[in-house]
Amino acid sequence: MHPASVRCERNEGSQIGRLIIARPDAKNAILIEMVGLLLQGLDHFAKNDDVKVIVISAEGSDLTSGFDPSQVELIYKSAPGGAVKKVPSQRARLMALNLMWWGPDGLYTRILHSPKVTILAAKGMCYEVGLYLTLCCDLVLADCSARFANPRWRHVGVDGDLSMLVSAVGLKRAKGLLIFGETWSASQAHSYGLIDELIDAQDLESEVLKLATFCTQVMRDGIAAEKHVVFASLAKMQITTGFAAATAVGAWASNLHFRDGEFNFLREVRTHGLENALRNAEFYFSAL
Amino acid sequence: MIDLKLSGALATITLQELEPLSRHDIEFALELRNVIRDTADDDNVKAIILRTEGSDFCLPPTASDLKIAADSRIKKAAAWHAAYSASAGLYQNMVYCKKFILTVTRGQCAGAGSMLVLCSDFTVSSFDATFAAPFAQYPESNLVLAELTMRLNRAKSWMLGGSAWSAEKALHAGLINQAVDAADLDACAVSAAKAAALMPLDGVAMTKVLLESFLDTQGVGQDFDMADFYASSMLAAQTQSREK
Repeated sequence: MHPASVRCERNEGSQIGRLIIARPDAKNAILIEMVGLLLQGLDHFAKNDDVKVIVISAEGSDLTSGFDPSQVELIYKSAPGGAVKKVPSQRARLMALNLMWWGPDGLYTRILHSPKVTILAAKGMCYEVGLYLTLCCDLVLADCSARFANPRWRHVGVDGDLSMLVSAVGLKRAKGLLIFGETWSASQAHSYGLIDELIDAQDLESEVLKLATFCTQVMRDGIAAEKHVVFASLAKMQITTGFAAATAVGAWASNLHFRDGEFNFLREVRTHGLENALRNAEFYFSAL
Repeated sequence: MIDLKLSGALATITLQELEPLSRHDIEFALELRNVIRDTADDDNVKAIILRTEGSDFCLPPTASDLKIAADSRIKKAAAWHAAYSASAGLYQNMVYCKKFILTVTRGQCAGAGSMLVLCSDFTVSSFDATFAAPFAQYPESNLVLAELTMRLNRAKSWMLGGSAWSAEKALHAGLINQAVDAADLDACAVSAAKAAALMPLDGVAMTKVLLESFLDTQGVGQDFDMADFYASSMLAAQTQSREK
Protein backbone atom coordinates (compact mmCIF):
# COMPACT_ATOMS: atom_id res chain seq x y z
CA MET A 1 0.00 0.00 0.00
CA HIS A 2 1.04 3.60 -0.59
CA PRO A 3 -1.23 5.39 1.92
CA ALA A 4 0.26 8.81 1.26
CA SER A 5 0.16 8.64 -2.55
CA VAL A 6 -3.18 10.44 -2.75
CA ARG A 7 -4.12 12.95 -0.10
CA CYS A 8 -7.70 13.92 0.56
CA GLU A 9 -7.80 17.31 2.27
CA ARG A 10 -10.29 19.92 3.30
CA ASN A 11 -9.85 22.82 5.66
CA GLU A 12 -12.49 22.97 8.33
CA GLY A 13 -15.44 24.98 7.11
CA SER A 14 -14.13 25.14 3.56
CA GLN A 15 -16.41 24.38 0.63
CA ILE A 16 -13.42 23.16 -1.38
CA GLY A 17 -12.23 19.57 -1.17
CA ARG A 18 -8.77 18.71 -2.47
CA LEU A 19 -7.44 15.48 -3.93
CA ILE A 20 -3.67 15.65 -4.26
CA ILE A 21 -1.71 13.06 -6.21
CA ALA A 22 1.43 12.71 -4.13
CA ARG A 23 3.97 10.39 -5.65
CA PRO A 24 6.33 12.96 -7.14
CA ASP A 25 9.42 10.76 -7.01
CA ALA A 26 7.74 8.45 -9.52
CA LYS A 27 6.40 11.29 -11.70
CA ASN A 28 3.09 10.69 -9.97
CA ALA A 29 2.57 7.42 -11.83
CA ILE A 30 -0.80 6.08 -10.78
CA LEU A 31 -0.91 2.80 -8.85
CA ILE A 32 -3.99 0.60 -8.44
CA GLU A 33 -4.25 1.67 -4.79
CA MET A 34 -4.19 5.31 -5.84
CA VAL A 35 -7.21 4.82 -8.06
CA GLY A 36 -8.99 3.42 -5.00
CA LEU A 37 -7.94 6.41 -2.93
CA LEU A 38 -9.09 8.86 -5.59
CA LEU A 39 -12.44 7.08 -5.73
CA GLN A 40 -12.76 7.17 -1.95
CA GLY A 41 -11.97 10.87 -1.94
CA LEU A 42 -14.47 11.63 -4.68
CA ASP A 43 -17.11 9.63 -2.82
CA HIS A 44 -16.32 11.34 0.47
CA PHE A 45 -16.66 14.83 -1.00
CA ALA A 46 -19.69 13.93 -3.12
CA LYS A 47 -21.60 12.91 0.01
CA ASN A 48 -20.66 16.04 1.91
CA ASP A 49 -23.23 18.75 1.32
CA ASP A 50 -20.81 21.40 2.55
CA VAL A 51 -18.43 20.73 -0.33
CA LYS A 52 -19.16 22.50 -3.60
CA VAL A 53 -15.89 22.15 -5.48
CA ILE A 54 -13.30 19.37 -5.78
CA VAL A 55 -9.80 20.38 -6.87
CA ILE A 56 -7.51 17.68 -8.25
CA SER A 57 -3.81 18.56 -8.26
CA ALA A 58 -0.42 16.98 -7.80
CA GLU A 59 2.78 17.37 -5.85
CA GLY A 60 6.00 17.89 -7.78
CA SER A 61 6.46 18.96 -11.36
CA ASP A 62 4.06 16.54 -13.12
CA LEU A 63 0.36 15.86 -12.84
CA THR A 64 1.00 12.22 -13.72
CA SER A 65 3.02 10.16 -16.19
CA GLY A 66 0.04 7.80 -16.41
CA PHE A 67 -0.74 4.40 -14.99
CA ASP A 68 2.34 2.82 -13.43
CA PRO A 69 3.79 0.40 -16.00
CA SER A 70 4.91 -1.96 -13.23
CA GLN A 71 1.24 -2.78 -12.58
CA VAL A 72 0.07 -3.20 -16.15
CA GLU A 73 -0.49 -6.93 -15.71
CA LEU A 74 -1.35 -6.76 -12.04
CA ILE A 75 -4.66 -4.99 -12.63
CA TYR A 76 -6.11 -8.20 -14.05
CA LYS A 77 -4.84 -10.49 -11.29
CA SER A 78 -7.46 -9.69 -8.70
CA ALA A 79 -10.42 -9.98 -11.09
CA PRO A 80 -12.22 -13.34 -11.59
CA GLY A 81 -10.11 -15.57 -13.80
CA GLY A 82 -7.20 -13.18 -13.54
CA ALA A 83 -5.06 -15.00 -11.00
CA VAL A 84 -3.58 -17.48 -13.43
CA LYS A 85 0.03 -18.05 -14.36
CA LYS A 86 0.13 -16.78 -17.90
CA VAL A 87 -2.87 -15.31 -19.71
CA PRO A 88 -5.62 -13.68 -17.63
CA SER A 89 -9.15 -14.45 -18.82
CA GLN A 90 -11.05 -12.04 -21.03
CA ARG A 91 -13.63 -11.56 -18.27
CA ALA A 92 -10.84 -10.52 -15.89
CA ARG A 93 -9.66 -7.94 -18.38
CA LEU A 94 -13.17 -6.59 -18.96
CA MET A 95 -14.00 -6.48 -15.28
CA ALA A 96 -10.75 -4.82 -14.26
CA LEU A 97 -11.09 -2.05 -16.84
CA ASN A 98 -14.74 -1.57 -16.00
CA LEU A 99 -14.10 -1.35 -12.26
CA MET A 100 -11.05 0.90 -12.44
CA TRP A 101 -11.81 3.30 -15.24
CA TRP A 102 -14.88 3.15 -17.44
CA GLY A 103 -17.73 1.41 -15.59
CA PRO A 104 -20.32 3.18 -13.40
CA ASP A 105 -17.93 3.04 -10.42
CA GLY A 106 -14.76 3.62 -12.41
CA LEU A 107 -12.58 6.69 -11.89
CA TYR A 108 -13.41 8.47 -15.13
CA THR A 109 -17.15 7.96 -14.83
CA ARG A 110 -17.11 9.12 -11.23
CA ILE A 111 -15.25 12.33 -12.07
CA LEU A 112 -17.34 13.01 -15.14
CA HIS A 113 -20.52 12.47 -13.13
CA SER A 114 -19.40 14.14 -9.93
CA PRO A 115 -22.20 16.22 -8.41
CA LYS A 116 -19.58 18.81 -7.43
CA VAL A 117 -17.67 21.21 -9.66
CA THR A 118 -14.35 19.54 -10.50
CA ILE A 119 -11.23 21.61 -11.25
CA LEU A 120 -7.92 20.18 -12.42
CA ALA A 121 -4.52 21.83 -11.96
CA ALA A 122 -2.46 20.46 -14.86
CA LYS A 123 1.32 20.70 -15.10
CA GLY A 124 4.27 18.81 -16.50
CA MET A 125 3.38 15.39 -17.81
CA CYS A 126 -0.37 14.98 -18.15
CA TYR A 127 -0.17 11.59 -19.80
CA GLU A 128 -2.70 8.79 -20.14
CA VAL A 129 -4.64 9.00 -16.83
CA GLY A 130 -3.67 12.66 -16.80
CA LEU A 131 -5.17 13.18 -20.24
CA TYR A 132 -8.43 11.58 -19.12
CA LEU A 133 -8.48 13.65 -15.91
CA THR A 134 -8.16 16.68 -18.19
CA LEU A 135 -11.11 15.52 -20.27
CA CYS A 136 -13.32 14.50 -17.35
CA CYS A 137 -12.92 17.51 -15.06
CA ASP A 138 -15.26 20.46 -15.53
CA LEU A 139 -12.54 23.11 -15.57
CA VAL A 140 -8.85 22.75 -16.34
CA LEU A 141 -6.16 25.27 -15.55
CA ALA A 142 -2.67 24.42 -16.74
CA ASP A 143 0.72 25.98 -16.39
CA CYS A 144 3.15 26.42 -19.27
CA SER A 145 5.00 23.19 -18.45
CA ALA A 146 1.94 21.00 -19.09
CA ARG A 147 2.19 18.40 -21.86
CA PHE A 148 -0.63 16.16 -22.99
CA ALA A 149 -0.33 12.73 -24.62
CA ASN A 150 -1.09 9.07 -24.23
CA PRO A 151 2.11 7.18 -25.09
CA ARG A 152 0.43 3.84 -24.35
CA TRP A 153 -1.66 4.19 -27.52
CA ARG A 154 1.50 3.80 -29.58
CA HIS A 155 2.19 0.48 -27.86
CA VAL A 156 -1.21 -1.15 -28.15
CA GLY A 157 -3.40 1.02 -30.35
CA VAL A 158 -6.13 3.35 -29.27
CA ASP A 159 -8.47 2.33 -26.49
CA GLY A 160 -10.53 4.34 -24.05
CA ASP A 161 -13.26 6.82 -24.82
CA LEU A 162 -12.85 8.90 -27.97
CA SER A 163 -16.00 10.97 -27.76
CA MET A 164 -14.77 13.40 -25.10
CA LEU A 165 -11.50 14.10 -26.87
CA VAL A 166 -13.17 14.60 -30.25
CA SER A 167 -15.82 16.85 -28.67
CA ALA A 168 -13.11 18.93 -27.04
CA VAL A 169 -10.65 19.38 -29.91
CA GLY A 170 -12.22 18.04 -33.13
CA LEU A 171 -11.78 14.75 -34.96
CA LYS A 172 -8.65 15.37 -36.96
CA ARG A 173 -6.72 17.00 -34.15
CA ALA A 174 -7.78 14.15 -31.90
CA LYS A 175 -6.34 11.71 -34.43
CA GLY A 176 -3.00 13.52 -34.22
CA LEU A 177 -2.90 12.56 -30.56
CA LEU A 178 -4.54 9.16 -30.97
CA ILE A 179 -2.69 7.79 -33.96
CA PHE A 180 0.28 9.92 -34.89
CA GLY A 181 2.03 10.02 -31.53
CA GLU A 182 1.73 13.75 -30.98
CA THR A 183 2.43 15.37 -27.63
CA TRP A 184 0.71 18.70 -27.16
CA SER A 185 2.28 21.61 -25.35
CA ALA A 186 0.19 23.66 -22.96
CA SER A 187 -0.26 26.40 -25.55
CA GLN A 188 -1.36 23.89 -28.21
CA ALA A 189 -3.80 22.33 -25.74
CA HIS A 190 -5.12 25.78 -24.95
CA SER A 191 -5.58 26.82 -28.57
CA TYR A 192 -7.27 23.47 -29.37
CA GLY A 193 -9.73 23.85 -26.49
CA LEU A 194 -8.46 20.97 -24.35
CA ILE A 195 -7.77 23.26 -21.38
CA ASP A 196 -9.57 26.37 -20.24
CA GLU A 197 -6.77 28.64 -19.09
CA LEU A 198 -3.03 28.86 -19.37
CA ILE A 199 -1.37 30.18 -16.22
CA ASP A 200 2.19 31.13 -15.28
CA ALA A 201 3.74 28.26 -13.33
CA GLN A 202 4.18 30.22 -10.13
CA ASP A 203 0.52 31.27 -10.18
CA LEU A 204 -1.14 27.91 -10.88
CA GLU A 205 -2.00 27.03 -7.29
CA SER A 206 -3.32 30.48 -6.45
CA GLU A 207 -5.34 30.78 -9.67
CA VAL A 208 -6.90 27.35 -9.13
CA LEU A 209 -7.82 28.34 -5.60
CA LYS A 210 -9.24 31.64 -6.84
CA LEU A 211 -11.38 29.85 -9.44
CA ALA A 212 -12.51 27.26 -6.89
CA THR A 213 -13.46 30.00 -4.45
CA PHE A 214 -15.37 31.79 -7.19
CA CYS A 215 -17.30 28.59 -7.95
CA THR A 216 -18.25 28.20 -4.29
CA GLN A 217 -20.25 31.42 -4.58
CA VAL A 218 -22.80 29.56 -6.72
CA MET A 219 -25.75 28.18 -4.74
CA ARG A 220 -25.68 24.44 -4.06
CA ASP A 221 -28.95 23.95 -5.94
CA GLY A 222 -27.50 25.94 -8.83
CA ILE A 223 -24.44 23.70 -9.01
CA ALA A 224 -26.59 20.57 -8.83
CA ALA A 225 -28.90 21.87 -11.57
CA GLU A 226 -26.02 22.83 -13.85
CA LYS A 227 -24.25 19.54 -13.33
CA HIS A 228 -27.39 17.59 -14.19
CA VAL A 229 -27.81 19.58 -17.39
CA VAL A 230 -24.23 18.57 -18.20
CA PHE A 231 -25.04 14.91 -17.47
CA ALA A 232 -27.98 15.10 -19.89
CA SER A 233 -25.72 16.58 -22.55
CA LEU A 234 -23.12 13.87 -22.00
CA ALA A 235 -25.79 11.23 -22.59
CA LYS A 236 -26.94 12.99 -25.76
CA MET A 237 -23.34 13.15 -26.96
CA GLN A 238 -23.08 9.35 -26.63
CA ILE A 239 -20.35 9.60 -23.99
CA THR A 240 -21.90 6.62 -22.18
CA THR A 241 -21.65 4.60 -25.38
CA GLY A 242 -18.05 5.69 -25.68
CA PHE A 243 -17.28 4.50 -22.15
CA ALA A 244 -18.89 1.10 -22.83
CA ALA A 245 -16.82 0.72 -26.00
CA ALA A 246 -13.75 1.81 -24.05
CA THR A 247 -14.03 -1.17 -21.72
CA ALA A 248 -14.53 -3.65 -24.56
CA VAL A 249 -11.75 -2.31 -26.75
CA GLY A 250 -9.41 -1.85 -23.79
CA ALA A 251 -9.79 -5.56 -23.01
CA TRP A 252 -8.91 -6.44 -26.61
CA ALA A 253 -5.91 -4.13 -26.42
CA SER A 254 -4.55 -6.13 -23.52
CA ASN A 255 -4.66 -9.23 -25.69
CA LEU A 256 -2.75 -8.26 -28.83
CA HIS A 257 -0.62 -10.35 -31.12
CA PHE A 258 2.68 -8.65 -31.95
CA ARG A 259 4.41 -9.34 -35.24
CA ASP A 260 8.13 -9.49 -35.82
CA GLY A 261 9.69 -6.05 -35.44
CA GLU A 262 6.80 -4.62 -33.42
CA PHE A 263 7.49 -3.43 -29.91
CA ASN A 264 6.00 -5.68 -27.23
CA PHE A 265 6.38 -3.85 -23.94
CA LEU A 266 5.40 -6.73 -21.68
CA ARG A 267 7.79 -9.10 -23.41
CA GLU A 268 10.52 -6.47 -22.99
CA VAL A 269 9.72 -6.24 -19.28
CA ARG A 270 9.88 -10.02 -18.88
CA THR A 271 13.14 -10.23 -20.83
CA HIS A 272 15.03 -7.10 -19.81
CA GLY A 273 13.28 -5.73 -16.73
CA LEU A 274 11.07 -2.66 -16.36
CA GLU A 275 13.73 0.06 -16.53
CA ASN A 276 15.30 -1.34 -19.69
CA ALA A 277 11.88 -1.89 -21.24
CA LEU A 278 10.97 1.76 -20.68
CA ARG A 279 14.29 2.87 -22.16
CA ASN A 280 13.88 0.57 -25.16
CA ALA A 281 10.34 1.86 -25.69
CA GLU A 282 11.55 5.43 -25.73
CA PHE A 283 14.22 4.54 -28.26
CA TYR A 284 11.84 2.53 -30.47
CA PHE A 285 9.14 5.19 -30.62
CA SER A 286 11.50 8.10 -31.17
CA ALA A 287 13.60 6.45 -33.90
CA LEU A 288 12.16 7.40 -37.26
CA MET B 1 -3.33 7.21 -63.85
CA ILE B 2 -3.12 5.85 -60.30
CA ASP B 3 0.35 4.89 -59.13
CA LEU B 4 0.90 2.71 -56.06
CA LYS B 5 4.26 2.39 -54.31
CA LEU B 6 4.90 0.20 -51.29
CA SER B 7 7.73 0.77 -48.85
CA GLY B 8 7.66 -1.25 -45.65
CA ALA B 9 4.50 -0.43 -43.75
CA LEU B 10 3.79 2.61 -45.92
CA ALA B 11 1.87 2.74 -49.20
CA THR B 12 1.85 5.85 -51.35
CA ILE B 13 -0.95 6.35 -53.86
CA THR B 14 -0.19 9.08 -56.38
CA LEU B 15 -2.79 10.39 -58.81
CA GLN B 16 -2.06 12.56 -61.80
CA GLU B 17 -5.25 14.46 -61.16
CA LEU B 18 -8.35 14.30 -58.99
CA GLU B 19 -10.63 16.42 -61.16
CA PRO B 20 -12.40 13.38 -62.73
CA LEU B 21 -13.63 12.57 -59.24
CA SER B 22 -15.26 16.01 -59.10
CA ARG B 23 -16.88 15.30 -62.49
CA HIS B 24 -18.44 12.17 -60.98
CA ASP B 25 -16.48 9.89 -63.26
CA ILE B 26 -17.76 6.64 -61.80
CA GLU B 27 -15.05 4.46 -63.35
CA PHE B 28 -12.38 6.68 -61.81
CA ALA B 29 -14.05 6.65 -58.39
CA LEU B 30 -14.26 2.87 -58.45
CA GLU B 31 -10.67 2.54 -59.57
CA LEU B 32 -9.47 4.72 -56.69
CA ARG B 33 -11.79 2.90 -54.28
CA ASN B 34 -10.34 -0.43 -55.39
CA VAL B 35 -6.74 0.68 -54.99
CA ILE B 36 -7.42 2.01 -51.47
CA ARG B 37 -9.41 -1.08 -50.47
CA ASP B 38 -6.86 -3.55 -51.84
CA THR B 39 -3.95 -1.64 -50.32
CA ALA B 40 -5.70 -1.60 -46.95
CA ASP B 41 -6.17 -5.36 -47.24
CA ASP B 42 -2.39 -5.82 -47.51
CA ASP B 43 -1.24 -7.05 -44.10
CA ASN B 44 2.14 -5.39 -44.53
CA VAL B 45 0.63 -1.92 -44.90
CA LYS B 46 -0.27 0.22 -41.89
CA ALA B 47 -0.48 3.73 -43.37
CA ILE B 48 -1.54 4.98 -46.81
CA ILE B 49 -0.42 8.33 -48.19
CA LEU B 50 -2.71 9.83 -50.82
CA ARG B 51 -1.20 12.58 -52.97
CA THR B 52 -1.40 14.11 -56.41
CA GLU B 53 1.17 15.18 -58.97
CA GLY B 54 1.32 18.80 -59.99
CA SER B 55 0.83 22.06 -58.20
CA ASP B 56 -2.80 21.59 -57.12
CA PHE B 57 -4.43 18.82 -55.14
CA CYS B 58 -7.79 19.22 -56.86
CA LEU B 59 -8.87 22.26 -58.86
CA PRO B 60 -12.31 23.80 -58.30
CA PRO B 61 -14.89 22.38 -60.69
CA THR B 62 -15.76 24.49 -63.74
CA ALA B 63 -19.37 25.05 -64.82
CA SER B 64 -18.84 22.33 -67.39
CA ASP B 65 -17.51 19.94 -64.74
CA LEU B 66 -20.56 20.57 -62.57
CA LYS B 67 -22.92 19.92 -65.50
CA ILE B 68 -21.15 16.65 -66.30
CA ALA B 69 -21.31 15.69 -62.62
CA ALA B 70 -25.03 16.48 -62.39
CA ASP B 71 -25.74 14.49 -65.58
CA SER B 72 -23.82 11.55 -64.16
CA ARG B 73 -25.86 11.65 -60.95
CA ILE B 74 -29.14 11.80 -62.88
CA LYS B 75 -28.41 9.24 -65.57
CA LYS B 76 -26.49 6.77 -63.43
CA ALA B 77 -27.96 7.48 -60.01
CA ALA B 78 -27.51 4.00 -58.56
CA ALA B 79 -23.96 3.62 -59.90
CA TRP B 80 -23.04 7.10 -58.64
CA HIS B 81 -24.35 6.27 -55.17
CA ALA B 82 -22.55 2.93 -55.16
CA ALA B 83 -19.24 4.43 -56.26
CA TYR B 84 -19.22 7.50 -54.02
CA SER B 85 -21.36 7.36 -50.90
CA ALA B 86 -22.56 3.77 -50.34
CA SER B 87 -20.97 1.67 -47.62
CA ALA B 88 -18.74 0.06 -50.24
CA GLY B 89 -18.16 3.37 -52.05
CA LEU B 90 -15.01 5.46 -52.15
CA TYR B 91 -15.68 7.81 -49.27
CA GLN B 92 -16.87 5.26 -46.73
CA ASN B 93 -13.96 3.03 -47.77
CA MET B 94 -11.70 5.88 -46.71
CA VAL B 95 -13.49 6.90 -43.53
CA TYR B 96 -13.78 3.31 -42.33
CA CYS B 97 -10.50 2.10 -43.82
CA LYS B 98 -8.69 -0.53 -41.76
CA LYS B 99 -5.45 1.42 -42.11
CA PHE B 100 -4.50 5.04 -41.50
CA ILE B 101 -4.90 7.38 -44.47
CA LEU B 102 -2.98 10.63 -44.86
CA THR B 103 -3.70 13.23 -47.53
CA VAL B 104 -0.99 15.53 -48.86
CA THR B 105 -2.33 18.79 -50.25
CA ARG B 106 -0.81 21.69 -52.11
CA GLY B 107 -2.24 24.50 -54.20
CA GLN B 108 -5.98 24.46 -54.64
CA CYS B 109 -8.11 21.85 -52.93
CA ALA B 110 -11.78 21.85 -53.90
CA GLY B 111 -14.66 19.59 -54.91
CA ALA B 112 -13.88 15.91 -54.42
CA GLY B 113 -10.42 16.87 -53.15
CA SER B 114 -11.97 18.53 -50.11
CA MET B 115 -14.01 15.39 -49.46
CA LEU B 116 -10.83 13.29 -49.55
CA VAL B 117 -9.32 15.63 -46.97
CA LEU B 118 -12.37 15.25 -44.75
CA CYS B 119 -12.36 11.46 -45.13
CA SER B 120 -8.66 11.02 -44.33
CA ASP B 121 -7.18 10.59 -40.87
CA PHE B 122 -4.45 13.20 -41.19
CA THR B 123 -3.66 15.99 -43.63
CA VAL B 124 -0.30 17.58 -44.28
CA SER B 125 -0.51 20.70 -46.41
CA SER B 126 1.81 23.25 -47.94
CA PHE B 127 1.39 26.84 -46.80
CA ASP B 128 0.12 27.85 -50.24
CA ALA B 129 -2.85 25.48 -50.15
CA THR B 130 -6.46 26.66 -50.14
CA PHE B 131 -9.52 24.65 -49.19
CA ALA B 132 -12.95 25.19 -50.72
CA ALA B 133 -16.05 23.68 -49.14
CA PRO B 134 -17.71 20.98 -51.27
CA PHE B 135 -21.21 21.08 -49.76
CA ALA B 136 -23.02 23.39 -52.18
CA GLN B 137 -22.04 21.39 -55.24
CA TYR B 138 -21.62 17.80 -54.09
CA PRO B 139 -24.52 15.99 -52.42
CA GLU B 140 -22.22 13.23 -51.17
CA SER B 141 -20.37 15.77 -49.01
CA ASN B 142 -20.63 14.81 -45.37
CA LEU B 143 -21.42 17.72 -43.08
CA VAL B 144 -21.43 15.49 -39.98
CA LEU B 145 -17.82 14.63 -40.71
CA ALA B 146 -17.01 18.32 -41.10
CA GLU B 147 -18.77 19.12 -37.81
CA LEU B 148 -16.82 16.43 -36.00
CA THR B 149 -13.61 17.63 -37.59
CA MET B 150 -13.97 21.34 -36.92
CA ARG B 151 -17.02 21.69 -34.65
CA LEU B 152 -20.35 23.01 -35.88
CA ASN B 153 -19.64 26.74 -35.99
CA ARG B 154 -16.53 26.34 -38.13
CA ALA B 155 -18.12 23.73 -40.38
CA LYS B 156 -20.98 26.15 -41.05
CA SER B 157 -18.56 28.99 -41.61
CA TRP B 158 -16.69 26.88 -44.18
CA MET B 159 -19.90 25.76 -45.83
CA LEU B 160 -21.62 29.13 -45.98
CA GLY B 161 -18.67 31.51 -46.05
CA GLY B 162 -18.32 31.32 -49.80
CA SER B 163 -14.55 31.64 -50.06
CA ALA B 164 -11.82 29.06 -49.91
CA TRP B 165 -9.81 28.89 -46.68
CA SER B 166 -6.08 29.43 -46.55
CA ALA B 167 -3.91 26.66 -45.11
CA GLU B 168 -3.41 28.80 -42.02
CA LYS B 169 -7.15 29.12 -41.49
CA ALA B 170 -7.69 25.42 -42.17
CA LEU B 171 -5.00 24.58 -39.63
CA HIS B 172 -6.54 26.88 -37.06
CA ALA B 173 -9.95 25.30 -37.65
CA GLY B 174 -8.63 21.75 -37.40
CA LEU B 175 -9.41 20.78 -41.00
CA ILE B 176 -5.73 19.95 -41.56
CA ASN B 177 -3.06 18.77 -39.14
CA GLN B 178 0.14 20.38 -40.40
CA ALA B 179 1.08 23.28 -42.69
CA VAL B 180 4.67 23.17 -43.94
CA ASP B 181 6.88 24.55 -46.71
CA ALA B 182 6.10 22.99 -50.07
CA ALA B 183 9.64 21.63 -50.27
CA ASP B 184 9.11 19.67 -47.03
CA LEU B 185 5.62 18.46 -47.80
CA ASP B 186 6.24 14.87 -48.85
CA ALA B 187 8.93 14.31 -46.22
CA CYS B 188 6.60 15.54 -43.46
CA ALA B 189 3.83 13.24 -44.68
CA VAL B 190 6.18 10.25 -44.71
CA SER B 191 7.43 11.14 -41.24
CA ALA B 192 3.86 11.28 -39.86
CA ALA B 193 2.96 8.02 -41.60
CA LYS B 194 6.04 6.31 -40.17
CA ALA B 195 5.11 7.53 -36.69
CA ALA B 196 1.66 6.00 -37.06
CA ALA B 197 3.12 2.78 -38.46
CA LEU B 198 5.07 2.13 -35.26
CA MET B 199 1.81 0.96 -33.75
CA PRO B 200 1.36 -2.84 -33.89
CA LEU B 201 -0.89 -4.05 -36.69
CA ASP B 202 -3.45 -5.38 -34.21
CA GLY B 203 -3.44 -1.95 -32.60
CA VAL B 204 -4.03 -0.29 -35.96
CA ALA B 205 -7.04 -2.53 -36.58
CA MET B 206 -8.40 -1.97 -33.09
CA THR B 207 -7.96 1.80 -33.38
CA LYS B 208 -9.88 1.89 -36.63
CA VAL B 209 -12.69 -0.31 -35.25
CA LEU B 210 -13.04 1.99 -32.25
CA LEU B 211 -13.10 5.04 -34.53
CA GLU B 212 -15.68 3.36 -36.73
CA SER B 213 -17.98 2.70 -33.79
CA PHE B 214 -17.56 6.31 -32.66
CA LEU B 215 -18.30 7.72 -36.12
CA ASP B 216 -21.37 5.49 -36.42
CA THR B 217 -22.80 6.74 -33.14
CA GLN B 218 -22.28 10.29 -34.39
CA GLY B 219 -24.22 9.70 -37.62
CA VAL B 220 -21.45 9.83 -40.23
CA GLY B 221 -22.77 6.74 -42.02
CA GLN B 222 -26.31 8.08 -41.92
CA ASP B 223 -25.21 11.31 -43.57
CA PHE B 224 -23.61 9.34 -46.40
CA ASP B 225 -26.89 7.42 -46.72
CA MET B 226 -28.65 10.76 -47.19
CA ALA B 227 -26.61 11.59 -50.32
CA ASP B 228 -29.42 10.50 -52.66
CA PHE B 229 -31.87 12.72 -50.84
CA TYR B 230 -29.48 15.67 -50.98
CA ALA B 231 -28.96 15.02 -54.71
CA SER B 232 -32.72 15.12 -55.30
CA SER B 233 -33.04 18.33 -53.30
CA MET B 234 -30.18 19.87 -55.25
CA LEU B 235 -31.80 18.92 -58.54
CA ALA B 236 -35.15 20.34 -57.44
CA ALA B 237 -33.51 23.61 -56.41
CA GLN B 238 -31.73 23.88 -59.77
CA THR B 239 -34.96 23.16 -61.66
CA GLN B 240 -36.86 25.82 -59.70
CA SER B 241 -34.05 28.27 -60.30
CA ARG B 242 -34.22 27.68 -64.07
CA GLU B 243 -38.04 28.05 -64.09
CA LYS B 244 -37.77 31.47 -62.42
